[in-house]
Amino acid sequence: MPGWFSLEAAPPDSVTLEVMNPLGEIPPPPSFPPSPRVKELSGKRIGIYWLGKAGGDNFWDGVDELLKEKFPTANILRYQGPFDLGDERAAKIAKEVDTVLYGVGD
Amino acid sequence: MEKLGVPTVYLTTSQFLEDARFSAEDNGVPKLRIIGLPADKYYSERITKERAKPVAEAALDTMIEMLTSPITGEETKPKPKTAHTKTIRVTGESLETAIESLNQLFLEKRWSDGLPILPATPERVEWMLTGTSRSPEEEIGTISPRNGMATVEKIAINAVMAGAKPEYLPVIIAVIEGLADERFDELHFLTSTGSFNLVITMSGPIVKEIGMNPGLGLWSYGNRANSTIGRAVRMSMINMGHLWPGVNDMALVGRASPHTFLVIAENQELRPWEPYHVSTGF
Repeated sequence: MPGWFSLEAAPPDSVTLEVMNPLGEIPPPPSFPPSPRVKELSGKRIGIYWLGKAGGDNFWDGVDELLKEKFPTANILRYQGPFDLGDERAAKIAKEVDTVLYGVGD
Repeated sequence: MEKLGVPTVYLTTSQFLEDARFSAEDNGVPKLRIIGLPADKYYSERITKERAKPVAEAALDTMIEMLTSPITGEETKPKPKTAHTKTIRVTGESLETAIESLNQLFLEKRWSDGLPILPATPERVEWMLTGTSRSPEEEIGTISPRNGMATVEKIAINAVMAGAKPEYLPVIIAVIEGLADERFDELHFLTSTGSFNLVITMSGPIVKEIGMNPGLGLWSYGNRANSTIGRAVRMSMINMGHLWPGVNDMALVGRASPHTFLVIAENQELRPWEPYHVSTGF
């Protein structure tokens, strides 16, 4: 059957197969560096975003309490929504916080 | 949030760390700061607030550090694009050992589904492309989760590997065209922790033309078209989507009929209703 294999200039008594690469090229998206950090958390508005998976609230409640203990003047803002924030929700949260912890729950 | 200028730290579990890094890269923030909570602790301790708090406490300093330590020069450099080689060579003492090496290599690179593949030599891909009049360079669309581009030629390569025949290629391309359509959410069934899966339905004269089994045992083994159309789609999902179980396909127990999907061909002779393709305007 034609095309099953091709003989190349390889060591005697060997067979070389040349096959085509099956991977789809990934078009590179525009690349952004991470945003400049806040210098400290005291007095800042710290967002916590959670997508609602079971038990994640227990973990984030712990983070919430610990941050309040360590940074009493910080304002912790809790959010819950889908994995994909969507433009509208993201823009709203961006106006309300200085920095954010994003946790999916998995 | 990063794109809106809000300094963000992303928390996930260690099981999802590789998935999160790929996702950050593919969504344009390759150096997103990510914390992988130890999965063994997080999943067992999240059950109550009291048990979850020590897990939070153990990660707190890292969260604070990632929220406040300045962005480094290395973090501002975009990742250079790596181009794929067009062909790959493997050598063996015989044709059989070369094919074995090919299968091993492709599995190690996550380019195969774990069942034996056929070698997609340029000649066999050309043969596969005789099944369509479309240009090999035509871009059908990108496939989630990593958004690799599905061209007609790439689909043909994967169809050869899956054991399909040229006459099946139009069907395989049509399925991938549907999956790549922005109105269809292929990301969910390809990657979700839920273990649901895709069902492919076919209707029209092509069912008979390519010899599909639309009758008793239509989901069974023993028919090349029924078996390899779905396998070619799966292979294309692996290689266009850069998909892999436990990396970015997070189905907890895997997916039903994972190698071939479930392919239903409408029975043109025994159907009591008008053909589905007619009902839908084709």
